[in-house]
Amino acid sequence: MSFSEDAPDAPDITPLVGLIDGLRRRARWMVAARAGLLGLAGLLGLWAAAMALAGGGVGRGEARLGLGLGAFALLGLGLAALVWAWRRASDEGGQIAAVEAARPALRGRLSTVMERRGVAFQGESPLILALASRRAAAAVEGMQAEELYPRRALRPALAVALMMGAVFAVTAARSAMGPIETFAWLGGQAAPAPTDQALAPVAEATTLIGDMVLRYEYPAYTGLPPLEVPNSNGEAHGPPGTRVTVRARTAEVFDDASLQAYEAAPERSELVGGRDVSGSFAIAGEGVYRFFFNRGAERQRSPEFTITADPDLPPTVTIEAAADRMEVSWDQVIPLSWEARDDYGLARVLVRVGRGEKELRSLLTPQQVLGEPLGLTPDKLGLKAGDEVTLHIVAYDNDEISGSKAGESRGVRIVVLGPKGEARRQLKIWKDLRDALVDVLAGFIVDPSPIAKDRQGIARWAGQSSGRFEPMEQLLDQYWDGFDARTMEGRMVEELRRLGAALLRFAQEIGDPRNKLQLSEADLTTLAELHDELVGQLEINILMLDRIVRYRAIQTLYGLAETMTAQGADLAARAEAGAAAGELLTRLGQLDEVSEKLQNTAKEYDGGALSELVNDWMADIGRASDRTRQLIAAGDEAAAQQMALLLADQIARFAATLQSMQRKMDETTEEDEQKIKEFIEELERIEAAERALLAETQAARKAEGNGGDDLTSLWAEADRLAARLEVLTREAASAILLNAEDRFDAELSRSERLIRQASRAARAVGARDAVTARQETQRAMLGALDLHGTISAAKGWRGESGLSGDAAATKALNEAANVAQELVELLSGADERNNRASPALAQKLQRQAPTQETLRDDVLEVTPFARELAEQLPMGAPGLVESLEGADREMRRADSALERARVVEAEGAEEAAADRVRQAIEALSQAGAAMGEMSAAMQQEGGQGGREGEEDAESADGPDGDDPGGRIELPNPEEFRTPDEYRKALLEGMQATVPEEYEAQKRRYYEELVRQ
Amino acid sequence: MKSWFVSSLLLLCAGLAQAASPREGFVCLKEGDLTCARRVVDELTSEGDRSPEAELLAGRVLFHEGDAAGAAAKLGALAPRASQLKLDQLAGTPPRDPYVGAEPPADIAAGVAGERRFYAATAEVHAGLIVSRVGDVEVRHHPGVERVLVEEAVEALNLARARIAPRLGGDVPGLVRLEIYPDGQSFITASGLPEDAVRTTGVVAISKWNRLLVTSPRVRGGGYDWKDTVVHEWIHGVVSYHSKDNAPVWLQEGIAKSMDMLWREDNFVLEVRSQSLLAGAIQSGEWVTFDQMHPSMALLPTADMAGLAYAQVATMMEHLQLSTDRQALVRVLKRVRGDEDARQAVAEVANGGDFAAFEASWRAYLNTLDLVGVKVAATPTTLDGEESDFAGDPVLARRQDLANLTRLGELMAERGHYDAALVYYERAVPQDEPPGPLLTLRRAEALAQKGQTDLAISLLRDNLVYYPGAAKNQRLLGELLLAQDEDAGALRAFRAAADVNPFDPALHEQLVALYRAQGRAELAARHERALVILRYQDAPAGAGTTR
Repeated sequence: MSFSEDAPDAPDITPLVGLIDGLRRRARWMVAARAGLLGLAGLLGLWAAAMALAGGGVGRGEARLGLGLGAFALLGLGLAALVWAWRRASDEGGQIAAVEAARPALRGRLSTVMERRGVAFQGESPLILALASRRAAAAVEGMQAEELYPRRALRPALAVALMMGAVFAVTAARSAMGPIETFAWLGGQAAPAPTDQALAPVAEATTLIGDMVLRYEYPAYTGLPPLEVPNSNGEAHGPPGTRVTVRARTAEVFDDASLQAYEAAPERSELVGGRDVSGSFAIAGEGVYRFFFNRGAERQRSPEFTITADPDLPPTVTIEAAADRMEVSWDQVIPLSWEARDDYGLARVLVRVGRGEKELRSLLTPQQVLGEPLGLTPDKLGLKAGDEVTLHIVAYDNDEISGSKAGESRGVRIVVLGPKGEARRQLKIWKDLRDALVDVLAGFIVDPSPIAKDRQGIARWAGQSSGRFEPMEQLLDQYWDGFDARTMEGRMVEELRRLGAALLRFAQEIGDPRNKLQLSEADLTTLAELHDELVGQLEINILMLDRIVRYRAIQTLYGLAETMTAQGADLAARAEAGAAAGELLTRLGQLDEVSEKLQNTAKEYDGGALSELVNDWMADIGRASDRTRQLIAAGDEAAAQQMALLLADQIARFAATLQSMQRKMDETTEEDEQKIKEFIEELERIEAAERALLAETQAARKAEGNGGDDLTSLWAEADRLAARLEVLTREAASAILLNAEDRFDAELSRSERLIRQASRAARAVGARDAVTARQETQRAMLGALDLHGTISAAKGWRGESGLSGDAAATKALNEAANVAQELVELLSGADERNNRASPALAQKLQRQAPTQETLRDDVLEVTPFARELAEQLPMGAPGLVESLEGADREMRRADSALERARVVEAEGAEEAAADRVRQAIEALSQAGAAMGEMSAAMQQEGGQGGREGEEDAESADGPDGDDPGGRIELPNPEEFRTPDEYRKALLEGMQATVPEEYEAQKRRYYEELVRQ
Repeated sequence: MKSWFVSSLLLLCAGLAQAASPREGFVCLKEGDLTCARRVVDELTSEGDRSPEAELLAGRVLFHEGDAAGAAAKLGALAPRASQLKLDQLAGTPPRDPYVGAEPPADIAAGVAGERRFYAATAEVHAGLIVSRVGDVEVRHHPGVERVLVEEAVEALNLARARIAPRLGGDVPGLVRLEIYPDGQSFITASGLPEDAVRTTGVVAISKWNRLLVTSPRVRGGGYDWKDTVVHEWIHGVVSYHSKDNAPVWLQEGIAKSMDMLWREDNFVLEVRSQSLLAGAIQSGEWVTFDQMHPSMALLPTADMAGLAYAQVATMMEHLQLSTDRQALVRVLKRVRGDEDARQAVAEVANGGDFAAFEASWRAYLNTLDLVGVKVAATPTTLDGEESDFAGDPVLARRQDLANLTRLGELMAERGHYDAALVYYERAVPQDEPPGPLLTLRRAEALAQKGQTDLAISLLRDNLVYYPGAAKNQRLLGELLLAQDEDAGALRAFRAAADVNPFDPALHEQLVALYRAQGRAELAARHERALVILRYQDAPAGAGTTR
C-alpha cells in the first residue's frame, strides 16, 4: 500500500514509523549490551574459576571438564535469553504498545494508524484516519527512545560484570598461575611460565634427573656432523648457534616440564610417561640451563647445568716471505706464499695492498686451511714502479651466527721496481753474491793440505767448516727470490751447495770416531779432491760474477761520467757566456755530487785498479773544481770561466777513458766467444774423423771376422750388465734419499760414491777396456756391499725398525753386488778373446793405425791451445784439458790396439776417444754458454751506462737502497723518456678490444701506465 | 866605395847563382833540416814564388813547425792547383796522407787532399792544447795537469843537448818542438800511426816532421819513463839531422837506445829486461838479424824479438864507443851522411872496415857483461783505460790464469781476508819469471796490512830491480820506508815514482817535506811548483803559456 500524490487527504505517518523503528533499534542495542556485559561476567567467572582450579592443584583434565560444563551451561542460558530478548526488542507491536503505555493520550490511535499504515480499511473514513494520525503524531512528538529504554537499565548487567571482573582479578592475583599461563595450561601447551619469583632458587624443590643424553647439532657453517653424547654430566659446550637437545629421566612422575636456558623464558619440554623429559636450546654464550617440572600446582626444578660456548676465533693468516721488505719488479710475481687457517672454515681470502684490495679466493665450500703462493705481480695489484706499500693477506671465516670475522697477516713491505731499478737490484745481487762467495772461499783456501791426518782432525775441521757457508745462506735469506734456479746465480748457488754438502758429508763420515779402521790414503785423496772441486767452483763463480760486476760498474761509471760530461759542457757553455759566479758555483756543486757518486760506485763494485783509476781522475777533477771556486771567491770571474772550460775538458777526457774501457771489454768478450766457437768446430772435426775410424774398424771386423759374433755378444752383455749396475746403484741411492734427513752422512756419501764408481765401470766397459772395466766393477761391487753394511749398522744405531727406504735400498744393493760379480766374471775372459784376429783383419787394422796416429797428433796439437784458452777465459773451461788428455790416452790405446790387431779393444778405445773429444766439446760449449750468459748479463738492460738519473723515477735515489752516494738526484726531464718498445706496447694495448663495460677501466689503466 | 861595389856585386851574383827552388826546400825537409827548409820558404816568399810547389813546401814547413792549422790552410788553397804540381820538384816526396795505413793516392790532387786532411785532423787535436816555450824548447801540451811535465821535459832536453849532442856531432839548430799528447787517441791522430800498431807495438812516441810526439805519462795508468822517451826521440831527430836521414832503423835505434839515459846517467845503463834478453840470446844463439830489423823494429813478430833487437843494437853502439872513443858515433854519422852503408861505416870507424870482426868483438864484449839471466817481461802498452785491471802488467796481461788468481787475492783483501789473499798472491807468482809489479804491489799491501812491513819492503825492492818503472810500487816502498824512518830510501823511492808518474800530488808532498828536511830548498821548491800546478793554483794562465 502506498500514498498517492493525488490523494492529499492521506495521513503522513512517517514520523510515527520512524519513532517505532528507532525504538526497535534501541531495544536491540540494549539487549546486546546487556548480553555482552553478562557474557563478559560469565567469561571472567569461568576464567577465575579456571585459575582457581589450576592454582588449586586440580588436574588439567578435571579443570577442563568443570570449566567446560560451566561454560556450556552459561552459554546455553545466555543464548536463550538473548534470543528471547532480541525477538522482543524487534517486535513492532510490542514497541507500539510500549509507546501507547507511555502516552496514554494516544488511546490506541498509534496502534490504529500503524496498523493501517495511513490507509483506511474499506469502509473507514480516510479523514478520520488522517485525523487520528495527526493526533497520534502530535502525542508522540518529541518522544525519544531514551525515554522508553534508558541506559540505566544496563546497570545491573554492568554491576554483574564488574563484580565478576573483581573476582577475576582477585583470583588472578592469588592464583599460582596467571591468566595467560592458565589459558596456556588449559590449552595443553608449555608449562606455565615461571615468574621471576619462580626463577629464584627458592620456592621449588629440586628434583633429580639422570640418564642424560646431549645431542649437538652444530651450525651448518661449521660443517661438523651432529654429535650425541650419552651419559653426559649435562654440561653443554659448542660453538654459538649449536642446537643442544637434552634428554633425561626424572625420578618422579610429573604432569609437564619446561626447559629454561640462560635467563630466557622456559620453553615447554616434551614429557613422555611423566618421566622422560626432552628439551632443547641453542648455545648463545656462557650460561646455564635447567628443567622445570609441574605436577598440578607443585613445581620442581632440576639442578643447573653449565653451558659453555666454544668461541669461533677469527682466522689466522701467515705469510712466508724471506724478508719484511721486498723489492719486486713491476711485472715479477711477488715471491711470497700465504696460509690461512680457521677453526671452522674460511669463506674468502683477499690481498690488501695499501688501501686497495683484491680477492684471492672465495669459497663455496668453506675450508679450514688454505694456502698457496700469491702468484700476483705488482701490476696486477694495481701497483706501479716506484710504489712502496704494505701487503697483507686477509681471510674471513664463515661464521653465520656472529658474523664473518677477519684475520690479517703480518705486513710485508713491497717496493715495486721498474726495469732499471730491477737491473740495479740484480747488479747488487751479483755483487753481494760475489762478496759472499769470497767470504766462503776465504775459509777454504787457507785450509792446510792435507786438511788433517787423523779422524779427529778431520771431524774437527768438518765441524768448523760447516759454518763457512753462512754468508751465502744469509744472502739467500735476504734475496730468496733472487736465486731462482733458472738464473745463472741460482744455478751457481745450487751447485755450490751440492759440492759443499758432499765435501762436508764425506769429511764427517771419514772423521767419525766410531770408525775404528785406519784412515786410508784413498779417503784423504777423495777428501782433497772434493775440497779442490769446491774451491775451484767457488773461484770460477767469483771470477764470473766479478767480471759481470766490473763490466756493469764500468757501464754505471760511464753513465755517471756522461752526466758529468753534460754538466761540464753546460758549465763550460755558461762560463763562455759569462755566467755569474753564483750560477757557476751551483753547477760546480752538481758536479761534485756526481763525482762523489762516481767514486763510491767504483769503490763499491771494484776495489782494485778501476777504483784507483777513478780516484785519480776524480781527485784531479776535484782539484780543478776547487780552483774554480777559489777564483770565483776571489772575484776573478774571467779566470774562473777559463778554469771552468779546463774542468769540462778534463771531465770529457775521463768519460772517454771509461768508454774506452767498456769498448775493450766488449771486444775481449766477443773475441773469447769467437775463439770458443772456432775451437769447437775444430774439435767436432776431430770427433767426426775418430768416429769414422771407428766405423771403419767395425766394418773390418764384420768383414773379416774374429770370432766376432761371440765377442760382440760378450761385450753387448757386458754393456747390459754395466747399465744394469748403474740403474741399481741409482735405485739404491734414491731409496736412501727418501729419508735423507734421517740418514747418517756415511749412508749418503757412500751412496754418492757408489754411483760414481758404477759410472766409471760402465765407462770402462764402453771403452772395451777389459782390464780397467774389471777393476772398476770390482770396486763397485765392494762399494755396494759396504753401503749395504752401513745401512744395516745405521739401523742398529738408530735402535728402530729401520727407515722406509731401507728395504728397497738393501734389495737394490744386493742385486747390484750380484750383477757386479757377474760382470767381473764375464770380463775375466774378455781380454783374451779380444786378441783373436785373422791375418786379413790384422792387416786392415794395421793400415788404419796411421790415421789414428794423425788424429792423435791433431789432439796433441790443439791441447796447448785448449790449455791456453782455458786459462784465458775468465771462468775457465773445467774439464776441457782433461778431456783432451783423456782423448790422447784413448787414441794412443786405440793406435796400439790397431797395431796389435786387438780389434775389440781398438773399437772400444776409438769410441772412448771420440767420447772424450765430445766431452771436451761439451766442456767448451759450457764455457761458451757461461760466457754467453755472462755476456748477456753484462748487456742486460739497466746496465747500459744510462746517464745518471736515467733510471726509474722512483729509484733515483734508490728504493733499491744500493745508491752508493745515498743522495737524492733530481733527474732531468728527458731522463723520464719511456723506452720506444714500451711506448709501442702501450699503444698496441690501448687499441685492444675489450667489452664495453671495461672500456673505461681499460682507459684508466693505460692512462696510469703512461703516467708512470 | 869600390870595395863596397865589388862586394855587392859578388853577393848579387851569389844570390842569383843560388836562387832558391822548392826542390831545395823539399830536400831540406827530407834530410831533417827544418832551418834550411824555412830559409828556402822565406826566400821563395820574398821572391814572390807562388808556384804550387812553393805553396806545398810552405805548408809542409808550417806543419813541421807545429802550425798544423796554417799548413792545412795552405794546402786548402793549393787544392785547385794541385794538378799543376811538378813531381820532379818534390824530391821524391809526393803529396799524400801521412797516415801510415793510408792508401796511395790515385792522383796528385787526391794526395794533396789527403795530406790536407791529415793536417786538419792534427790541427783539430792541437786546438785543445797550449804551447809553453822555455828558451828554445817549445812544448805543446794540454792546459791541464800536463803543465807539470813542461819543466821536467825542458830540463831533460837541455841536459841531453848538453851531454849527448856533442857525442853525435852537435845539436840541431832551431827550436826543439815537443808535443805531449794527453790521450792515446790524440796521439794516434797526430802521429798518423794506426791504432792497432800503437797498441801492438807499444809505440808511445815518435820523432817525425822535426817534432817529438810523445804521449803523456798519464795515458798509461801508472806512468812510464817518459823523460827517457823524450830524449830518445830527440836523439832520433839529431841522428836524422846529422845523417841526412840516411841512418837505417837499426843504427837509429841503436844510437838512441844506447844514449837515451845519458841525460841523467854518466854511463850507459842496460835495462834489466834487455840484459835478460841478451843473456837468453847468448845462451840460445838466436839473434835478430839486421835484415829482420828492417824496415822497422816495430814490425818484428814478438815483443821479445823487438826487445832483443834494441838490446843488440844499443850494446853494439856502446861497444863501438868503448872500443874506440866517445866521438865514434860522430864519425859514423858523417860517413852515413855521405851515403856510406851504415854497417860499413860502423866497421870503418870500429876497425877499419871489417863488420864481421866488429860483430865478433861485440859478442865478446857481451860475454864480459854481468847480465841478469832472469826472464823479464815487457810492459804492455795501455792507452786510455783497458778492459782489464791487469792489462798494464807485464806478466798478468798475458797470463789470464795468474791474473785470475791475483784478482781473487784482491777480492779477498778487499774483504779483509789477508791470509787468503796472500795464498792467492803466492799462487799467482809465475814459476819461470819474476812476478809482475802489480802482483808484487798487492802482495806488499797485504803484508803491510798484516804488519809484516819488512817482508813487504823486501818484496818491493826485489821486484823493482826488474821493474823499476813501477811507480805505485815505488810509492808504496817510499811510504813503508818512511814509516820506518828510512828517509833517504823513501826519498829515492818517491823520486823514482814521481819521475815516472808526476801527476800524483802525494808524491810531491812527500818530496817537498823530505827535501826540506834535508835542507835542499831548491829541490823542495821544484816539487812545490809541481804541486801548484797539480792543484791548478796557477791556472788557468800559467806563466809563459800561450794558447
